[in-house]
Amino acid sequence: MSEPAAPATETSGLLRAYQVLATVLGFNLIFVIVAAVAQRVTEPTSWWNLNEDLIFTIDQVHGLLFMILLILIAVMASRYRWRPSMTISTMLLATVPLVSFWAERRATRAAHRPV
Amino acid sequence: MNARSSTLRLWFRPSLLGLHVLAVVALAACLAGGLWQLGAYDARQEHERADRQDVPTVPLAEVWSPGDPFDATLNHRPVSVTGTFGPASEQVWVSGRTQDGQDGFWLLAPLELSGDDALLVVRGFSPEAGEPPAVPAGEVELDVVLEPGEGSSAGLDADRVIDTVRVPTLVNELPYQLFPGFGISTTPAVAAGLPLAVTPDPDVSWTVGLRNLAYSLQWWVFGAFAAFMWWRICREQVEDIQAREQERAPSDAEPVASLSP
Repeated sequence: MSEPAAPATETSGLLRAYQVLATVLGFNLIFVIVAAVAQRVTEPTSWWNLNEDLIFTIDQVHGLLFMILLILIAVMASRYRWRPSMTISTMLLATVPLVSFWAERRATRAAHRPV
Repeated sequence: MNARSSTLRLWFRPSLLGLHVLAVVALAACLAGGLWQLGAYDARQEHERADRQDVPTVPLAEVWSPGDPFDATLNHRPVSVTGTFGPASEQVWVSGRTQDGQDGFWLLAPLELSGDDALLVVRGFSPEAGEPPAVPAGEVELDVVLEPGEGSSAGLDADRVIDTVRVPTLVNELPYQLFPGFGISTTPAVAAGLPLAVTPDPDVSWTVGLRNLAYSLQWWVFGAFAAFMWWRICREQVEDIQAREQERAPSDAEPVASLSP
């Protein structure tokens, strides 16, 4: 009775892209938070403060990748007919360190479930 | 109820009201975030503008000491200086200046402030570089706008003409410790009858505080994304309901997976 899911190859490509990006961003996010805290609590000559420019660039890359992640989640939500709460929570949880990994697992499980 | 609920009615189903509220909150937050960053951008611009022209004229010694580098806050800063001009023969013409569409020269003179320390002062603008005019005798007080020293120079020629106000070059030609910058006089009394040199346009580049401007645009892009997501989710929900109603399933006993709680 349920409609067939989108073609398998395309689906797995989208899911794969999401998984890779979400995982990369999960680690990137931890670095961004650690760096932001370290810059405030360590002395001005610490590695964190001497490499302010590098860290700022990493922060910006993180922001850009996160925007792509949001778009991927939006496409997945539409393709897999996610509930709105699932879509929104997947987007929000991607911003929480460590929890983002769990959110990716959860989204992957949801994507594997038949529509 | 009709065979198909009107689309409008479906948009206001209770199950979608939460989404509408969330969309309004998200849009308001993004709008506020964007305005906040735009305000920060304006403040940076304003601050920069104040740094350049709207600051009161203070004695040079309050903002700049001999031996200090020329830092950004000194740029275009009006200050008052008190000192004695060096002999008229120490003056220099700076070529390649344009004023009111006329090519000409700046008359640059060392003003001895204290000890050996001297500030180069542009006294005025002249269409031609002749015999340097006499300097005011004794101690004078004048207002100048500070400018950073200029770039590479071909050096001072026999007619005491130089192409840029390059302090490291002039320091070899004049018997003073020169400040690493110069002042453009805004005091007609020391201009030897010449028109005052025009001080550079203190325009603030729009790129000052660019990061805040970019952040404010980002907030609005996020807001647009939130609005798009809201519209799309609502539309999908409504379409799902309409599809179910059209199927005319015997009952709602078989819920569509995506709509189950």
